[in-house]
Amino acid sequence: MSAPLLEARGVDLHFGGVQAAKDVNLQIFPGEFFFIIGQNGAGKSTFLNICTGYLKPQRGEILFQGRPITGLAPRAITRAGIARAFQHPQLFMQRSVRDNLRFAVAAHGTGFWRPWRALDDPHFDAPARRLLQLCDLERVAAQPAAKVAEGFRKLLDVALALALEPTLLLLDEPTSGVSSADKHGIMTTLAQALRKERVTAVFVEHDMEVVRRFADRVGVWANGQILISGPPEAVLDDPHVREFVL
Amino acid sequence: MRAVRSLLWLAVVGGYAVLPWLAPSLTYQLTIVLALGLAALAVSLMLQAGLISFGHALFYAAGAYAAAYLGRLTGAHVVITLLLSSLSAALLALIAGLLIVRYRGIFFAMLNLALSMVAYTLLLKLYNVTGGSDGLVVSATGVAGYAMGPTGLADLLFYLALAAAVLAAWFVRVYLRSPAGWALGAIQDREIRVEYLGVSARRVLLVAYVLSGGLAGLGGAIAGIAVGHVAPDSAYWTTSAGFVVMAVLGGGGDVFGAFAGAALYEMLSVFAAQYLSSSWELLLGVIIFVIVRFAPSGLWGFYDGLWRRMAAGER
Repeated sequence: MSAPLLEARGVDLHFGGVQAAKDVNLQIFPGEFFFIIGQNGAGKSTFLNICTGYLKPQRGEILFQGRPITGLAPRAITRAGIARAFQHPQLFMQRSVRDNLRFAVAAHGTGFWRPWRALDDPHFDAPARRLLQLCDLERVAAQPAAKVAEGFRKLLDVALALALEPTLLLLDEPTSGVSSADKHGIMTTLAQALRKERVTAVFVEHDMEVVRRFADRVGVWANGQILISGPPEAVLDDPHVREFVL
Repeated sequence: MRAVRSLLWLAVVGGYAVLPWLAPSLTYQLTIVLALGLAALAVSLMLQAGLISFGHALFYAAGAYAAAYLGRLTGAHVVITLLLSSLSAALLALIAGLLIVRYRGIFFAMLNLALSMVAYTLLLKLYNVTGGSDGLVVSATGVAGYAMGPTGLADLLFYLALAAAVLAAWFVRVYLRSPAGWALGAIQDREIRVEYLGVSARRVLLVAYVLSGGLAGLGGAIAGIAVGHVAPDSAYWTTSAGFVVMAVLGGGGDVFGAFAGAALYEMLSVFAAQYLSSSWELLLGVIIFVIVRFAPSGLWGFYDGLWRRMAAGER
């Protein structure tokens, strides 16, 4: 088996009396889609926040490609190759979908600090067009992010992360707030985009149909701990998991 | 339509350039409008990130005091004095900015105000260095070794100020269309996303703050040379508030708004003072109310809206 891309070793974090992460040990391997499931308050999003530098654990460490990244600022972790998509899409709402992506492209590549290179320069526009196509956003490209449906916002949030050409992408409930009719369409688009870009992904997800269909491995969170992890069939059909988590 | 608007702007700049020929007595006032416009542009630049500064008089005063000192050191060479004064203010903005860009909202506004008031007090108290409440004489006699008389110097300063204003407006416009300039609005909208795109919001703001300080300093240096004198009042908080009023009157939608706001403010302060004596602020208050109530995006927003409606009518 190849070396883990991301590794959590004995990670602890508590807020007062609330244990948000308790001795979390986890390995994420290159190319896999790992799904985190569990009830509300189980510590799923907290784990993503620790991995992306938003929260600092009181104990333990996070390694990315074998190097410790514990406690680094979100910006440094992003630069290292870990991007994230948010449960509530963090977009530049008054700007067009296309400009959102051009900015993300500029943020990652060269030319960000050159005042003579406008945001609509082909240097930024060409990669943005590719991302619009990749994430099926072409038809809403000219619209302000505030005016498009939630499903498109979710896709745009992921597209912004993909503009950074990450090695690992952490997605916090990418289908929440989207109608059940649209969920599978969005997940199919996302999964195709991630596979095409060869991005390893960790999802936090509540919809077990989505998990069963798209996960390579599943981890079950409860009270800040990992109860069990493994292939989706084995985990989701486990009687203990069915009784206490699902 | 775009070409017509561009031609109109050329006509406005051209018209402004010939005004001293038509009314030589207005040369001083026209120069001051450009100086204030640069300071309002500086405030307007930070407004792009949703950050309001009640302390930009610090950099305006820094530019004017630097002009007073540099005027002596450079043999009163106007162009070099203006450039170095602007750079001095930018350097001060860099030092202050390292602390200030960590803060947002009311804390940013108040910290700017606090620093400018510290500077005001120092300018008052350090009499041997700053001349205390008497201030300093700002001398400038010519350019490239040629000494000029008062009228020639006033004309030269006006055209230098006009060139500086056009260049500054053009540069800020280009900058705001670049990713680093666009990032200012992005920081106001979603700073967390900016950070998660790997961009340092603080660095983006620091660059804008230094540029902003340099612009305000340039305005201060122009005003200092035009007046021939600089006093601590130039760093007082009411001077900063004036720049904010100009930026709001003009509207932050475009760089020209700052100059329109400065022109309106200066016209009011000069002409209304003749008829309303010391209560011209009353008229200013009414005009601010009217603009905020009926044209919240300022003079520029009102003008831009007219053109948009005309363009929509054409379609």
